[in-house]
Formats: sequence, structure tokens, C-alpha cells
Amino acid sequence: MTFDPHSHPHDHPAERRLATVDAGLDSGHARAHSDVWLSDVSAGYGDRVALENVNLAVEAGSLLAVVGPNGAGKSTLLKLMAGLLQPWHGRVEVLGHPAGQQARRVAYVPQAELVDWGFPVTVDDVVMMGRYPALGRFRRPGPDDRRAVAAALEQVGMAAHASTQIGELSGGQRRRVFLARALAAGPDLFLLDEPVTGVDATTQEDLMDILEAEARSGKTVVATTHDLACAAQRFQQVATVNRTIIAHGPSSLILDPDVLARTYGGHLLVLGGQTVVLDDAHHHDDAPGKERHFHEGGGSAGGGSHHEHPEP
Amino acid sequence: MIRRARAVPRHSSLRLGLGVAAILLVVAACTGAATPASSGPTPAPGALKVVATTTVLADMVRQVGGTNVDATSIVPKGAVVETFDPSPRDIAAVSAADLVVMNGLGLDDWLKRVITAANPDVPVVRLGEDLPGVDYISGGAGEAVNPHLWLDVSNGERYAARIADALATADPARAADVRAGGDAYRARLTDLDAGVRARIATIPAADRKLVSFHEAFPYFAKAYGLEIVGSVVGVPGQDPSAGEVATLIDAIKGSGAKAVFAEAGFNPDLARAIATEAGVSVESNLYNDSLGDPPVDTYEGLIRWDVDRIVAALGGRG
Amino acid sequence: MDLLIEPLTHVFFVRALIAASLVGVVCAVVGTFVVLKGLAFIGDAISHAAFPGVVAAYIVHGPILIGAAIAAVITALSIGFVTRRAGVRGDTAIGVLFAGAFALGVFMFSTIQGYVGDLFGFLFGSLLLTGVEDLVTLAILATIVLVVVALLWKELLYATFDPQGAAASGLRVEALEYLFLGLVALTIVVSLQAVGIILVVAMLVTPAATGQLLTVRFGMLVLLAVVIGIGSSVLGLYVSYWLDVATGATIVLVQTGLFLGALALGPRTGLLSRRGRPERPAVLAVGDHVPG
Repeated sequence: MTFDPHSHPHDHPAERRLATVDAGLDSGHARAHSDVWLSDVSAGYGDRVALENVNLAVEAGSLLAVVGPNGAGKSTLLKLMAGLLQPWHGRVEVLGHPAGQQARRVAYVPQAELVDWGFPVTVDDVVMMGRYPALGRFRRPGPDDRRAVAAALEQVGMAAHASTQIGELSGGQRRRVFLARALAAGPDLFLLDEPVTGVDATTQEDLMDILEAEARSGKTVVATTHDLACAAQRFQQVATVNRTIIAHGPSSLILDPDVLARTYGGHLLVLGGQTVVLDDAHHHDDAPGKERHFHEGGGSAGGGSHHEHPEP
Repeated sequence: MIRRARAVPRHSSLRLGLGVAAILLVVAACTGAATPASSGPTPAPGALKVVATTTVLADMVRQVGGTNVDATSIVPKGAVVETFDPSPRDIAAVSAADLVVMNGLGLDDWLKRVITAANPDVPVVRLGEDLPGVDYISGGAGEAVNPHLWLDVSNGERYAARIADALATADPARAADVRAGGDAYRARLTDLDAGVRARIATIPAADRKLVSFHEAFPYFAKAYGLEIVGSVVGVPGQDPSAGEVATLIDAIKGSGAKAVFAEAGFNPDLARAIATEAGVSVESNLYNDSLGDPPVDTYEGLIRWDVDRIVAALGGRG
Repeated sequence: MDLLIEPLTHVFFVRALIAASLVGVVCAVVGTFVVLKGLAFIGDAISHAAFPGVVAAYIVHGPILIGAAIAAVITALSIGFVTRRAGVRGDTAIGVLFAGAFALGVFMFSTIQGYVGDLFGFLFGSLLLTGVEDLVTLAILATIVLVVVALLWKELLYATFDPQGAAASGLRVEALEYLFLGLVALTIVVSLQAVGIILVVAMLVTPAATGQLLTVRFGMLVLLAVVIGIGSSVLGLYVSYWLDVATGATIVLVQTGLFLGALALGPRTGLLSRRGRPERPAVLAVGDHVPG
């Protein structure tokens, strides 16, 4: 069944169920209207295959959640889009150019764990880094840049903490600062790796509000997340990933047990009418120590207390 | 005034530390200048400031110049000259010198950089280089020429003559005085030379063999009729390799030498080990480029001391 | 005060002061990034690996600084390459390589017959023997390094703090890494004359490490490192002059003393801090990175 990105998905639920994205995407039409376009991509690390046969077109102005089990390749997909990883096969195009070439128009927000929090920089300094690509090689930040930084801090509610050293911030505050850095860059495409994972509900709400606002104003937002409830409720589209794109469509897809089954590899439990997805750490050959986490499909906001590990 | 604010260190150990540092600075400020002149007459006011590399050379300068010179040396008693690392005080001394006296021939080449940095225009006398009348012996270990000329007392005389010339040129007002002193000193050295020759001659001919610590004694040996079987350390600062030690031991056994001579200031264990292995005795107190405590506090004393030791160890008389 | 003035009457001392200050500044600036990037070990490796370059240059009677520079830069870039390919195991490879390089230097050194005193100056420094040409070379190289760092300031900062984010924003992080390692190599070569191969890593690392104990702001950190770098050089020179001891070692001891002082008394870790402990959040928020 061909997936047509221009049809409105809620009309044909039956088709959605079996939606697999295939080579029909290679049409110029899809490519021309997409901010992010992957065609027949496979990629990995060393000899380990992380993704294969990936075909994906993300329309401009989308608010897309990328979900899938641990080790499924969500972070890999994002890195391909950011140009941080080269595919072994296939093409990745972002904003009409090969991935990585339009870096000034793309803001990549990495997983929070990968930064040195003891680094002697303040919130202000970090957000200003978002302005560096626009500044180019030799210019110093000027009043315009400072204004952009202040506005971004205001947007994320961290204006009062501008001079705080980042090590002194809470987890939620750090996420806000990194989003502010992305906002200050004024990009056309946001790529966020687990932006709301492990933060308190208020921060989650605030961050999603901002992302929604950006999508409404025509920017494209792609975010990976473990939180299926958040994905279903706050995002417009979802792409489910498990070494390849299992499904891509409106976020209500997440509620589809069949999609869930194929994405999460059959580790599914139906409890009292609610579908619970069990992500078994042993199912994938990942680093030991990953813990199980539970999601409720279609239920209340997820994100209980669990410890996240960065995906490779 | 005692402040109770948090800013004052509460720990008494900090105050102690500051106190110690202060004392150190005061002590340092009171510390005197470079190596003081030990033996010899007190220099007259306005005397020519002469800096020599070794204590031996400084003594010679004093013997020639008397009260007309204020001679100091850089390498202290007992230190190794070839690998010496001058300290800040030494460099300051060179910078204040009116005349620099060095041996040259690789013995004290490190001084060249010091001179360039501290006092590039100062007159420099290289006593051992291009000295007329000297039959140069080639050096081992890559040196073009062996620098230890002064152990042959007739070369010591030549050194004294050069010193006298240099002092006279540097300080013409006292030239006459200096030359007179030089002549007197050289006369004493001539007598010393004859005396050494006589005493060495008392050693039975078959026993006139020398094994020394680094190659300091070729000129001595040639002048006074001794044979050098080998030396323990080829280049100071670098220990001999296993092969070199084995060769030396064989040479000693084969030659019939009776003793190994080690130097004051070098580690005597190496010489002792070789001597034991080769079945000969060890004499570990020879001096060559550095003076010691009295009676080895002058060049003449050094020569007499060495000769005493050598003659005794090799079975001579007198 | 005579303590201060008397040494200044000697030209060699004044030259040494200038040289030491220049070295102090360059080491502090580059050293700040070395400390933040955790490259202290690599800095030590580069300086030890410069030794065979020094010896080789001496044997062929070439300019010693050039020999040192070639060896240092080659080592720096090789280490960059090894670290990228081997990851964590890189530090073992580095340890093996630089010890081997230093041994090669000692091996070559032992083949030299005759006078080798000049080489000792490169092992332990010969600040007081700085000549006019040395000073000019030092000034030129130092200026080059400082200008490059100034031009690439924000890029270096971003790439050090968040390599992924920097790469994603278009910075050529790998190229910058190699360039920085080259700068470290040059800085080390510049500093060899002052404190020698054995101690140069101290000059590179200690002032910035001390600054880290005293401030959390990046700009202030660099400023403190520079002040400490110059101050310790000057103080060390004077102390070594008056106590008549090795100059390079004295400078390093002053720096170490300042570091220990900051540790004992500083606002972040010492007696004057409110908690007496390094800052850590009281409760780890979920998803926070646990350092270690």
C-alpha cells in the first residue's frame, strides 16, 4: 500500500494500520515538499546495523514524534538528519540539501547526558552558542545576538537564571536552556533527542507548548521520545522506528495495537482493556543495564520514574 | 587588628605557612654572593673581578694575581665540571665579571651560553686551546682533544703564563704587579714539576700502570712516565656499558696494573666493583679538575696529593 | 626594594622575565582549554615525545626548536588520530607511544659521544640563558598561537563544551580538534626553553586548574589562569635567583603551591566555601547525568 503524505490520515484507518513506507516515496513531489527526506537509507556504527531500508518524508511545519524501543535507531535517525552520521547507503536531504550542509538552519538538541555540566559556562553563555553558526568564523556577538538570547531565555522561562552556572540547574532547567539555545539560532528545523524525557510535568508542558508554537509558525520539529502518551497527545505526527520505519502518520497511530506490536516487537500486554507495552531490555543486543519501562497506550501521561540511557 | 569576618583564615596553619615563607625570603635576601674565595689573600678594593669555571683555575688566578684580583669559581668543590648546570647566582657572577677564565676543549663548554646571555663582551681566556708547546693528546669518546692539560705541571706553567697575560691586558694599571706574581708562581711550578718526576721515578718500572676514573690522566701519564691501561668512565655523566666494563676488567688483568684510581666526587662503588673483579686495589681519592679541603685547596696541593696516593699505591718511595 | 631591583640590573634576568611571562601567558590560555578538554595526559605525552626530536636535531647540528616542533606536532596529530579511532583505549595507546618515543630519545642520546650539556637545558629548562634570538622566536610563536586562539575562541569553546551540538551546528569539530592539538604542540615547544620537557605540562595545566578552583565563569577562568601564569613565573624567577636554585622547578613549585592554596582555602572547595565540598545538586533530577 503506498503511503501518500498528502492524504489526510484520519479518513482511512484501515489503511493506516498497514501503513509501511516504501519506495513510492522517491517521487519528486514528496521530496520537494519535505523539509526532511530519507530515501533507502541504511546506517550503523562499526559493523552494527542500526537502521536499514529507511524511507521517510517529513513535511514542512510538521510536529513529528519518533518513537520506538530502546536501541531501535531513534537517535541514529536524528543524527542522520543532523548530518552527524553518514549513511552507508541511500540519501538524506534536509531543507533541500544533503544533510549537514544547511547547519545554520538546523538546530540539534542532543540528549542531556552528553554534556559536561561542570563546564564553567553560564546559561547566557550556552544560549549564545546557538548564535555562533550565524555569526560565522570571526565575528563577535553583538547587540542583535544578545537580544535573541534574551528573547529565547524569556520564551523558555529561564530569564531569571541567565547568570547561573549550568551545573547548578535542575534537569528540567537544563532542558529549557538547551531548547533556548536552539530557539536563539532561529532555525527552520528542530531536531531534538529525548527533549521531554525525565523532566517534571510542568517542564514537559512548557517545552511542548513552545515546540507546538514553532510548528504552527511553519518550522519543522522532529523529536524522539519514549513517552508514547506524550507522543499521542502533543504531537501531530508520529513515526515508529525499529531498525526501519514501521509506520508514519498521524499520532493516533500510536494507539493502534498492530502498529505497536510491529514496532515494539511483540512485547505487548493487554491489561484490563489498556494496552501496555513492555520494552524488554534483553530483546536488543544493547549495552547491559538498560531498565524496563512501561507505557500505557491511550492512558494518562506517562513518564514514571525511570533511568534513561543514551542510545548509541 | 583582628577581624572576625569570615574572610580571615581561621586556620593557624595558614599563618604558619605565611610566616615560613616570609622567613625564607628574608634569609634569601641576606644570602651572600657567589662562591666566596676560600684560600688566598683578601682582594684589594677595586680588584679585577675574575670568574673561573673550576676551583683549580680560580686558585691559579689567585696565585698569579694576588690581591689584585677577586677570583671566584662557578663549579663548586667536588662537583663534576663537564655536566655542571650553572645556577642563577653563577650567571649573575658571570654578568658582573671583568674577565672570564675557562679551560676550553670541551671541559666547560656550557659556559659559552652563559657568557652569551649574561656578558657577551667580557674578555674570555680559554687556557687550554691552541696553547703553544703542548703536544695534544686526542680525546676518547668523540672529543677532538683531551682537555685535562693541567695535570702535567709544565702545562700548568703555561696556564699561569696565559693567566698573567690576560690579567695584565685586562688591568693594565696593575700589569707589572701581576707579571711579577706570574713569574714567581711559574718558578714554583717548575720546581713542582721536577719533584713529581723524581717521585714517580721511584715506582718500579713494571708497576707504572694507571687505571683511572674518566680520562683525566693522559697528560700526567705521558709527562711522568706512566702507562694508562684504561679508564672506568668514558664520558662523565654516562655510565659505561656492560661491554666497556668487561673490556676494562680484561685489560686490567692482562696488564698487571696494581690499582684502580677513582676520583673524589664520583661514586666509588663502580671503581671498587671493577677493582674487586680484576683483583686489584682501589684508591678512591684522586683529584683532577676540582679542589677539595686542605691540603688539596690549591693546584699545587692537588698535584702533591695525587702523586702521594699514586706513589703509595704503586709501590714507590718518597 | 632591593630584592626586586637588584636582579633587574642584570640583562639576562630581564630577558628571562620577559620569556617567562610570555610562556606563562601562552600556557595559561591554551592550558585552559587543555584542562577543560581533559587533555593533560596528552600534553605530557607530546612534551615527552619532543625529546627524540631535540636529540635528533642536536645530532645533525640542526636548530633544536625545529626538531622539537616537528616531533611534537607529529605526535600531537597522531594522538588525535589514535584517540578518535580507539576511543577510551586511546589513553593506553598514548602511554605506550610516548614512553617509547622518550626511550628512543634516550637511546639516541646515549650514542652521542662527548659533550651533551646543551641537551640538559631542554630537559629541565634554561630560562636564564635566554638570548635575544630566543626571545624573538618565542615572541613570534607565542603571538601566532594567541592570535589563532583568539580568532577561534568561540568555536573552541563550543566544541569543547558540547561536541555534538557544535558539530550539528556546522562546526568542523574534527578539524578543530587537530588544529587545537597542533596549537598545544607549538605551545609546548615554546615553553621548552623555560621549564624543559619534564615540567612543561605543569605550566600548561596548573594555572588553569587553579583558576577552576576559584571561579565558575569561563572568562574569569582564563583571566585568572593568565594572572597566575605570569605571576608564578615572575615570583618563581625571583625566588630561584635569591635562593640560587633551579629556575624552572621553582616556577612550577610556586604554581603547585598556589593550586594547593586554592584547594585549601578557595571558595569552591576550601575552608572559605560555605559547604567545603564541590557543588553538586542535592537531589539528582530524573534523567540527570551522573558524572563518573
